[in-house]
Amino acid sequence: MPYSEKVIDHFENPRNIGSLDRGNESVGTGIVGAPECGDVMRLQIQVDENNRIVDAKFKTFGCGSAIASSSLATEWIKGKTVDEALEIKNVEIARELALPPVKIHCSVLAEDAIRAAIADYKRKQGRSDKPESAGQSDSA
Amino acid sequence: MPDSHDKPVPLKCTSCQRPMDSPVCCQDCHTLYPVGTSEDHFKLFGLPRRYALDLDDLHQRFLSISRNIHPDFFGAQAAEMQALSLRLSAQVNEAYATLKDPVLRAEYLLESTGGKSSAKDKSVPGELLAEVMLMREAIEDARAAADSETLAARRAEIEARQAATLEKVAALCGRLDEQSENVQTELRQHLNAMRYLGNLLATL
Repeated sequence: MPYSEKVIDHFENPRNIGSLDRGNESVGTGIVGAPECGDVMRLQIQVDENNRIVDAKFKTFGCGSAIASSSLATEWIKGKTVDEALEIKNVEIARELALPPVKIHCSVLAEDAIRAAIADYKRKQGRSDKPESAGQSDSA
Repeated sequence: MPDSHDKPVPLKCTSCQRPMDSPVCCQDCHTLYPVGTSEDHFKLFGLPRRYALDLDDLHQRFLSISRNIHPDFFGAQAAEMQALSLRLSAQVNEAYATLKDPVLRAEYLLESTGGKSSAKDKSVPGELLAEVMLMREAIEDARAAADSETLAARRAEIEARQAATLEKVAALCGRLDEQSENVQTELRQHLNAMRYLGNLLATL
């Protein structure tokens, strides 16, 4: 099955490719992967004091669908609040890009990356909902 | 996975009464045995279920069995026997391909003792994903700069990492009979790491 035009567009002109400063307290970094295909995806968000995602960057080593899924994910989360970004579901990404069934896992990876980046940001802010991580449970 | 065909290995050929090396066929009178399609890969070769194995010995066993079950030898026989020889050959080929590869062998041991597949458990040891990401970027930069020295160093680094990971895989496979979930999870993580490292090496 050939790639859809939208996948090719994101693959050839990826939006928001690059990186943000991992050390910055307002930056959340999510790195996820799919061992079956060996793809690795990094998605970073910069969040302002109103919990709004003001910038997003990604870097993906993987197939065209994985690159397009993460590129689209950064486009969609920019301008959203952290909570709104958490609402994005992989099926919406898959539908927008018209991914074939064998490539659905690429959109899952992009959703996982958004969640991982937000979890990292929240951890940094000491508002993690996972008390076992990094011993910040008492400030939750 | 045990199934209804999970009967003990016939030690004696029921046709010529001689001892058999493999449950698949008699090496003396060439009688074929319809072992189950999910028969244990190790059992097919008359080997114990164990990670450590002698690859030359496995190869010899594979050749010997293949000589007895190859479809070419059953061309003049009943259609039923032709079909059986074809099915057994495919099964033995697949078992051989799995067992000769250390990663696939460990995957097989893990999943056939109830461990999760990589699709079900994507976790990796420590910060491996972040390290793989950095290595990918370093490789990308080195390639853009046509820096063959750095690329060679990276290759050596990844190969050393693979060798170290494989040692852990071997040690954990030896502990699978403890039926500990921790051992299974740790093995899954190191096998997932092998996938990423293998993929990384393929880019070099």
